[in-house]
Amino acid sequence: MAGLLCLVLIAAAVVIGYRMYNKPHRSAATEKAVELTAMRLAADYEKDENTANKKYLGNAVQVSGTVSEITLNQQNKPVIVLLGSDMSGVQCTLQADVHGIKKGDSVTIKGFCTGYLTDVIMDRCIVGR
Amino acid sequence: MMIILMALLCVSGIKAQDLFITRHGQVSFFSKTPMENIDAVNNEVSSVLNVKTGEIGFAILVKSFHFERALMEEHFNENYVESDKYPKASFRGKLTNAGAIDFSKDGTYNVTAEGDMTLHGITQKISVPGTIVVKGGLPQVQAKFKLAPKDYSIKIPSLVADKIAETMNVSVDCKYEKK
Repeated sequence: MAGLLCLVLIAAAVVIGYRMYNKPHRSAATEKAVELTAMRLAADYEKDENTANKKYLGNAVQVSGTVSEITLNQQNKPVIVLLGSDMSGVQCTLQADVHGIKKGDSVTIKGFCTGYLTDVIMDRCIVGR
Repeated sequence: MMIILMALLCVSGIKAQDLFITRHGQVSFFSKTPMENIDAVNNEVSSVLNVKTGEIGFAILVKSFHFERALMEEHFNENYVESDKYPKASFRGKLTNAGAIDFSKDGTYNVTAEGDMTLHGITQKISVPGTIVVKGGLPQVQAKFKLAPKDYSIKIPSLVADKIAETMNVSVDCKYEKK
């Protein structure tokens, strides 16, 4: 009886260990996000980077805004910059191609905030809610 | 940090035509041990190159490094580089031979960048050999160098020491546009 219990516990540990080792990446599609405008996000970072990091750094964020720039990065993934403030925008690197998005469009992008350089940076992004 | 760098460049009377930038340059690193291969890439590197003075700067968000395995990425952020505490890494330096490069002429030029590398809150002086490829008037900077985590107080627990090499092989590949 004790032997059987041991076996079950060991099997459980192996399964849990295996699943942790191969845990999936965080996904913007499934994680609950802070929702705000690109202008608000840029303003928050410009005002106080440390406070903004506490709110947004490493978290899922859903931003809505106007496309001020759309380009491709060196891995041919789309990079969309949303209008933020005079000084900073919100730069979003998308996971997949997007068709039909152009400068001036209003979009909603969901992804993870990795911090603030000249713009607020978000990656692993998807378009839409 | 980038804003300070740009402001300093502006104050010193730099002409816009001397500056090239990227907001999505690439930096990656890897190490191989018999136990494990570590491989990470960052495609959101911000960099400024002043072709007149040779000043070059890179600003990197550490959370933008992505690994194939999510658990490895988690350990990297939480245990090793402590990215919540030190979200940025940077290099601020100068090309030692900027004067010898004709940035208006297509070609491949060997360069050395010397300056301050900051990671995990620690700054070290480093010297990195690399190349600049000028094509159509636009530069592309490429470099490979080794970096030891312990030089930046990055502690690797002895339990996993055989999975993580003592030095990381870092690769830089940035294509610049006109500012």
